Amino acid sequence: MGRILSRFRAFWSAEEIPRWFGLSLLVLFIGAVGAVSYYAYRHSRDYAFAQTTHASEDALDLLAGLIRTDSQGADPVDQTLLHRFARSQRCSELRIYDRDLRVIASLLSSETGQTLRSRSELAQARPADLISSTLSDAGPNRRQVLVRVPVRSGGNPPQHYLEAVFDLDGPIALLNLLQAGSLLIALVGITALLAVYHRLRTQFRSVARIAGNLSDAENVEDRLEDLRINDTQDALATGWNSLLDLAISLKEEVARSAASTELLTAISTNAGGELAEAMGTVPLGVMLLAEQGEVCYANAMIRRLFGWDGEVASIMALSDDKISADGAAVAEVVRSAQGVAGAMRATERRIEGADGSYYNVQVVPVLTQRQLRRCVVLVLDVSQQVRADVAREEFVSQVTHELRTPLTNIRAYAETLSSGMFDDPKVITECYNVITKETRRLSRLIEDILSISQLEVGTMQLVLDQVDLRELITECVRDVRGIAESKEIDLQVVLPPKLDPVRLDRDKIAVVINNLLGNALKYSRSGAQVVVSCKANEGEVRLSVKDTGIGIDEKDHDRIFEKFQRSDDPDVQGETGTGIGLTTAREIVRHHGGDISLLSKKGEGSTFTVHLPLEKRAAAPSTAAR
Amino acid sequence: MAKILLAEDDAHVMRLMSIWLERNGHEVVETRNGAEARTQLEGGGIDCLVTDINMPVLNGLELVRWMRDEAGLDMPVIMLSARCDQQKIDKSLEGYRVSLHAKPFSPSRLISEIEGLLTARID
Repeated sequence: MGRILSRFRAFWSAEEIPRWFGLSLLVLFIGAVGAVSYYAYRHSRDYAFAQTTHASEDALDLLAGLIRTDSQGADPVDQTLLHRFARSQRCSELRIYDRDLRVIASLLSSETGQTLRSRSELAQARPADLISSTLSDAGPNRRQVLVRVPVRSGGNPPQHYLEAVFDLDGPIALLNLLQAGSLLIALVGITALLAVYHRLRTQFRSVARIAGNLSDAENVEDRLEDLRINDTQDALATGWNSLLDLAISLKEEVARSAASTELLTAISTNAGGELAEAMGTVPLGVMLLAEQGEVCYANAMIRRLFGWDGEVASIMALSDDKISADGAAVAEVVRSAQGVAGAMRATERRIEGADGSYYNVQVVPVLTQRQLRRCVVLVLDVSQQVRADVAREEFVSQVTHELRTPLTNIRAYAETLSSGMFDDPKVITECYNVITKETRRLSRLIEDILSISQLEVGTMQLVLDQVDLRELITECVRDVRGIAESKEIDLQVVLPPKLDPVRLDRDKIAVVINNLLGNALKYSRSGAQVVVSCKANEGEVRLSVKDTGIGIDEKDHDRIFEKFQRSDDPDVQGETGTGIGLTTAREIVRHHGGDISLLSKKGEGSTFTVHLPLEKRAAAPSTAAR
Repeated sequence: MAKILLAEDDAHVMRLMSIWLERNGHEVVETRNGAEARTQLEGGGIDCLVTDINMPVLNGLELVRWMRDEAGLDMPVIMLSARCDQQKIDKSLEGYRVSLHAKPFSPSRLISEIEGLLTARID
């Protein structure tokens, strides 16, 4: 029982009543209506038939009272009466006959005088009172009733009988018509009901599905697509689907808007966001300034420059009194870019930072309507470029100076010789010696400059030959012995008794030795010692120039090998130099497959060691051995 | 006959100028840098100064500024320079009454200049 109840409850609470159930109800309804209609039709037809029969009987009985016919024959009046009665009462037969069944008068004149034969059982009847009977032989769809009334004359038994056959089809046809009309109206009503039911059922089904989808789906806003109704085409579903489309497009629009808001936030808030992160890594300071100098955006470099540390400086402004000296210098450039009425104009200026760095500050006005006071500030660190420019300028100046010095001596001593004013042989010899020495010095200098320019364009070529290093070193030392003596420096040479010839470019290695020796003498004070040594060991030749001079600070060990770079040491700056000697020396050695190492301590002297492989290793690409 | 102070760190230039000046009958005082020259100037008796610009310890420009501004010495000064920034030097020597000669120079022309300056001073 409980099971049946639960099944019924399940059926009742089902969102959709099954189609078969609806159809069964419909068939039952139509069947019931049909049955009731049929019953009503039958009943009313019988009732109408009975009523008509009674009326016909009464009418015939009344007619019988008017008949004056006697045994002799029919009265002519009666004959007329019969006809009029038949017409008004829809009689198909009307006759008067006597007890012997002989027809006295009839609608059919041919029947008069004849004896009735048909309907024998009725003809035989001699009723004392009215009888009526439905005729069974009336044929299909016809209803006829035969009524027989005795014609009384005083208190005597009846001698004649009046007989009529009434057609009842007329009233019944009318009744049928009415019934058919009613049935038609009922059918039309049912059809209309069915149409309405169908319409409502579709609508209700859509509503039920929408409600079902909504109650089933979790996180409705994330699964709008699942709420769509696919298998129906009615207007409600179409409307619902359109509504969903609108909701989905709105959702996408909201997502897009959120994404763009996120991007804008990322840009404007300095923290987070790929663009902001990327801007943090570029070697360019970027800052967007609003009116009154408020900072809308500042990337990492700007924040570092201005001393705005921390995660996010919430309020930054150029008027901030906590900004660093560099920041203040940038702010000054921005202020100078302010024109009439506060409108910004494009400005570019180079500033020097507190730590000696150089920055190019560019103020670019943001040219949007009503935003004339806004600007973007770009700060580029140009220290390297400035340093390179200064170094190049210094190099040109130094090279000029270095070239002019031997040239001065050559020209002056040559003029001394040619003037003929000096005849002292000692002076004349001295003049020749100076000219020779200074010419060699000039030649070495030109070789240096040539080497550095070849290194610049990558066209250095080695002219390799078997070279006796002992001889080369001795020669180089001889060239500088005069300088050593004038500076009172103890110049020593330590060479092995025998050294195999080494394959190298004699002139270029001479440049290396001269440069190292020149530096050792230049940066050693009076009383210092310079030792040049050379030995072959483990597949390489090591040539060392050791001095007890001023030494090199460890921080400058790499820098002094860079082009145009010299140590910041005041002792070094006090000496003239181009800043290319060590660069050239190292590059030449590297082209030979070797390298130069340095051991030095400030104040204790330096040792430069040239490592030259006995078998030339992989040469630099620009080297072409001949 | 004048006492001429030479300040030059290049031994060959120094030697050459000494030969020429001595041959013309002048007394030459040789110094290797500005500091040494300043000491000689402080000692007095110098009629003319011939100095290089680039020298260790105290350079020619600093020496001239000292002798004109602080020591108040008004003797003729001839300056030799191998530098290429001529305009910069001219500007820094403005008002110091210095005769500037670029290296390489002609010894005979230099001697004539010195002689001319000394004669003008005596007059």
